[in-house]
Amino acid sequence: MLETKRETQKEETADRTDPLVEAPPPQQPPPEEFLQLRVSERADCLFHEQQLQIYKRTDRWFAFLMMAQWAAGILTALLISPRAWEGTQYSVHPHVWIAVFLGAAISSIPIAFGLTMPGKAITRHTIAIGQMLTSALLIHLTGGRIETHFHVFGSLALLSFYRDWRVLVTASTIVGADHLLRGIYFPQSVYGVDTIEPFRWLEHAGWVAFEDAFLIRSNIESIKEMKNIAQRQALLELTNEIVEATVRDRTAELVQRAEELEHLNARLVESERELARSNKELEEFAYVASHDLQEPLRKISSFSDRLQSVASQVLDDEAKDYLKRMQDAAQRMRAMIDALLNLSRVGRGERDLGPVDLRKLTEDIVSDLKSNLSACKARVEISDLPVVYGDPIELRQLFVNLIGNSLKFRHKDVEPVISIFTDKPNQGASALDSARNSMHRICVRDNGIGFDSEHKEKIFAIFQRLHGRGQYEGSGIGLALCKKIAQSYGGNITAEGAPGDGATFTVTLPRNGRSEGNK
Amino acid sequence: MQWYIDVDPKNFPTLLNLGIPRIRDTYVAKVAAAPPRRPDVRQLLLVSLWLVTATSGFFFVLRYETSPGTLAAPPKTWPEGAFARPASGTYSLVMAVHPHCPCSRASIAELSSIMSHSGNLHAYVLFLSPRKVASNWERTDLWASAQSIPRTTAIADKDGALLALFNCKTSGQTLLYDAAGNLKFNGGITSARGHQGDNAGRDAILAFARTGIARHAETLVFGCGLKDNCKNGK
Repeated sequence: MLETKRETQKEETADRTDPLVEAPPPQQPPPEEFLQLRVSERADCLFHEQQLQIYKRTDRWFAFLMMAQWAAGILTALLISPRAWEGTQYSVHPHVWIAVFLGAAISSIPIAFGLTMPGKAITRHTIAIGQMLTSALLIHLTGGRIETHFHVFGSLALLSFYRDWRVLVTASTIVGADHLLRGIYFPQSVYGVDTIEPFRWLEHAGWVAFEDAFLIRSNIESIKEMKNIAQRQALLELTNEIVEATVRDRTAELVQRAEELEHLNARLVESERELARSNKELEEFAYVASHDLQEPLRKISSFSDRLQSVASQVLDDEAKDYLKRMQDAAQRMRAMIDALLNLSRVGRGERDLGPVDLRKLTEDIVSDLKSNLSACKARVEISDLPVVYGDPIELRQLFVNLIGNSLKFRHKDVEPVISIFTDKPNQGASALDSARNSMHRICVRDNGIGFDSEHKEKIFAIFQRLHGRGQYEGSGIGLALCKKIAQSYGGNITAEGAPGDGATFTVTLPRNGRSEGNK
Repeated sequence: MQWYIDVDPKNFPTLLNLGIPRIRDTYVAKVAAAPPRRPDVRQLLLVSLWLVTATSGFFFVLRYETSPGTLAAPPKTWPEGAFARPASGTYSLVMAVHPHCPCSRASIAELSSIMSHSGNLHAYVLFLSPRKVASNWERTDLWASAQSIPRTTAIADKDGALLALFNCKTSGQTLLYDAAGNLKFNGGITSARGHQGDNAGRDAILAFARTGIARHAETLVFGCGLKDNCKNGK
């Protein structure tokens, strides 16, 4: 039975000490109502905080004021009535003792409460009573001077610093009670006459009430203003909190993104490094393989030539056909290996870098290919071309391949026309255009058979052919070589065309002549 | 009335259980720090004791301030051997003053008020001037104040001879004689010890001076004793 009671008590204690833990989970209100509730409650909290600060501050002020008043009372008694006389004999005037002891009695509790319990209601009401009693004491000590009565009105004004109208009511009640009781028991001390009208005290209290009316109104207005300010501050705090939370979330998001980006960058750099290493290995392999393939190929070729010269008499026609096919294949393979070697050499060996006048370069090429051009009645139109920075041999190879490509894929019944010109982008447009402005764009356009635009990437791939070997000769490396040369200078090459409508190859090379490719 | 009444956690179940750490902490801290709603009984007892003490003190003060001095009976007519009275048609007012009595400062102030309100009065303020004290003992601020009042003569009464003649024993005692030399009023002109303001003595003197009649012919007197070893007053 006893244990059950103890358990019940324990549960009750737990309920009192930690109501938050035991409280049932409430239903979540809608967001707007929730925010309003939160602002309202926070405003209430801020208002009470401010009010408590005012109470505490004013309590301390009054504690020190009452000390000063006590001292002033003693000083007043010593100055005005230091001695009581009987003829030529004197003693300390009772006013001095009254100022010391009654002053101490009046001030002690308000001072003690003001210093040790600031902010409590009992403190400010005790101070209000003490202040009014001090007024009465000072009036006595100054012989009832009318000027000292202003201490009452001044004290009421000071008490209004609490912004608590109840304090004014307490103080005024003390004044009224003082006049009422003294009017009844010691009328001479207040009104100077033995008999007075029954409600004379109301006249005195009325003037106090007159001042109270304004002070109380002022207090009420002040409280309203404080509540408004608290409401605004709560709203501001909530707004700040929301902004801070948003910023916090966004910052965390940004940090996460930055980390992801950094991770991706690291992976990209690693991939690039891996790719470069792989490319280098591949190129070295291609070079070594091509170089080493030449030796057995030369043997195949030379021994097939020897076989033809030695055994041509004894071989029948079928064998001779086989032999010729073998020789053709060996020759084609040599051409392919040569092309492959050329391709792999790009960017590997020493370059003779310098300014290259592309107009002069292309004119020299046309001059060298004069017989070929004449054979197919081809015409090459060369407009103003820029001077670029590069190796003349590689650039020559590039344009030879492009012109050769145009001649190769011409219409049989149409005289080929090849135009070489610079494509100048429009003045100042987009950022893309400004990027283009940093590059020379040299176009090689022909009126040949063209190609389907879906193959515009494929034609630059190594050993890729759009036509059968029987239709057009070639190793399938020419355009790949062009692309590699252009890219080795930080440029590129693209192709546009349509079947039967010619093709345009655009070579881009850097204007400043410097790029990673030609370092 | 108390700020902490409104922050009782029971009044804020929604707020305190919605996971708002900042406000939740604020409120919990406040609630934890909040004093009890009702004032401590000991504090109330202390305040009550304080009020009783202060009230008792004031009662003592009022008792002291309203305790009159000895009101001796003065001669019914202007005494022989006193100084000459003014011309006919003028009341003569005699006030006995101890030059060092702080309570008489109020009496001098009331005398000033009376003299400024009535034109057919001449006042004589008799200042006690014992032989055994230093010279100019009677020349205090009260003397200066009395001299500054119109139609008022300050007289240094050597060894209290005139005071004895008028039989005045308490500082502040005021006598009013009419033009014929008959005593009309005897008493103090303050309502309490050293207390300025409305009082019956002033009203009576002014009434006599204006109409020849008054409600009171005698009032209490408050002030220091004029003779050594006197039990009156203090």
